[in-house]
Amino acid sequence: MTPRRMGPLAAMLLAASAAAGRLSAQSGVGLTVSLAPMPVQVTRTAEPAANRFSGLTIGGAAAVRFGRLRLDLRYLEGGLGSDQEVPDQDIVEGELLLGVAPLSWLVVKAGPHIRSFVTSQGTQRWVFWEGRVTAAANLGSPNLLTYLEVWHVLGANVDAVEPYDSGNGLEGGIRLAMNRLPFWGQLAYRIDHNSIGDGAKTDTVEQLVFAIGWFVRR
Amino acid sequence: MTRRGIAIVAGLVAICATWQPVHGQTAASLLEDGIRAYQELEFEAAAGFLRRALDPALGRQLSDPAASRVLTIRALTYLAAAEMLGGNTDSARATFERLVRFDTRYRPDQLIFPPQVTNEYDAVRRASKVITFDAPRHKTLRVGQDSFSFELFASSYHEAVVEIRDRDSVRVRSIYRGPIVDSLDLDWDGRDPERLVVASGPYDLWIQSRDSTGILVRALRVPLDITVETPDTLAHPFEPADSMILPEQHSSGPGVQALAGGLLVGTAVAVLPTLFSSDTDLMGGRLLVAGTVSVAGITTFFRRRPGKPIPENIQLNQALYRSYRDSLAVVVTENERRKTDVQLVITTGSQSVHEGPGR
Repeated sequence: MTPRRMGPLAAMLLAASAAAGRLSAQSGVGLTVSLAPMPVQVTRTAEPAANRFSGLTIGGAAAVRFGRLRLDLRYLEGGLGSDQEVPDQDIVEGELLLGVAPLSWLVVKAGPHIRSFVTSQGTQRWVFWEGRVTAAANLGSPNLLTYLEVWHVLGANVDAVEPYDSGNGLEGGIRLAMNRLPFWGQLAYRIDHNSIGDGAKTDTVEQLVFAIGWFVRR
Repeated sequence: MTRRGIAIVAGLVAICATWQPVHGQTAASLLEDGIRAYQELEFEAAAGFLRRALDPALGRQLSDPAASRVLTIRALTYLAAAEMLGGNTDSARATFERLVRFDTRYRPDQLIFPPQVTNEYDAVRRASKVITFDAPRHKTLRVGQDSFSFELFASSYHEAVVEIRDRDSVRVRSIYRGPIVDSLDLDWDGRDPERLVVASGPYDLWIQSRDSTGILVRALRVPLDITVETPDTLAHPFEPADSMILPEQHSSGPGVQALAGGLLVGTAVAVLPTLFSSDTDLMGGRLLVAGTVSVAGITTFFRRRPGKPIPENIQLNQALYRSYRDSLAVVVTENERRKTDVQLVITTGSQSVHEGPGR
């Protein structure tokens, strides 16, 4: 990852941390900030060939809760390499989702999700508009919960000749909060699968999330 | 103002300034005149002076009760002696009886008065059945620790009955029934015969002198105003509400929820990606996540299986009940102490004498 690429990530984390102090002073507000190294695997198929890229990305996420409303922000970037005769590329990804929690264990979210693959020859950008549903359950303690988030791409704009076809994704994992300390750890698996050109080309992006987070709740 | 007016005012002022001392000194001077006449063996004149000295109208003008008392005793003694030596024995006895009733503890000085007088006084005193009473005007007593103490002085040996009565003259407590010789110290603990503390209100202390046949000779009634003061008791602490009691066994909810949640998410993470992308060789890491979530759910289920005791909750509940019982015991003990910590405030009033048919 180049220093230039670290700029947006650092700025986002600094902004989130600064916002934590202000938001924590407001009633009914919660803020979660996390930082995660994430092994990523991208499998790109274009019949009959298939290319696989893998690498390590680093990212951060922030979630702001205000009553039943919540705003999720996520960003990651990293380099991808392949053992095949294809050039390396970088991946930069961000999403901004606005959600509402009709039930304490259920959140419905929607928003843009942007992913860019950067090579020396240019940048291919994928813009998705996604609808998501997240369900969470305590594993015997409020400090330990498991969750599953599934989503469907409602609309997309892809820098490709073929028209966008469809996309789905899911993220599932476990989160453990520390007793009396505002920190938590997370282990999760995330996958999204998108196809273009009536399924002639597909992109499958998998991420393994090892996150450490900090939260403030008022 | 004219000279004549000034003279009148000055005269009135002088009269007002000297009026009280003249009357205050009159009883005393009459007593001195009577004593002087007695010493000069002019018994008729002495009796005259002394009777006038005992005029209640003059005695009341003495501001000092102790001085008035001494004056009365001296005047009665010299009057009785003058009557005795003047040959009026009956009058002398009557005066001695009056003297005995006035102060049962008094004895004529044998250096001043002849045996004829002192012997007659003793005879009258022996024949009289009189009790006088001495007690504090105000007394505050803690029931069970203290008592209302008073002293009786008798003129002679006789039977005495001492009791507390309410204002309807119903006996509340018998204090003493028996002989009295010279003096008697008595106590009342503020309770009735059933050991119950009397209620607030007006009472009377009756001190009766009875003859050998039990007939009432004389009764002394001393009003007692009694106020019972009891400290308020403390309210009992509230028993722990059900909402404060923690569950002592795991219910089926959390364990089953953890098992279902863990297995559902674990299965979803393991299986759903293969449906999304069936032709892709997916990351093995997803199985690590699926396994971790599933194991966490299963482990939680067994840790919190339904019906399993929750030791920490049991201990907390026991501590809660122990604290409640301790608080209750403290309050009960304190209330028991307060119930017994009853104070009686007793104020004695002016005594009155009631003569009976006996002798």
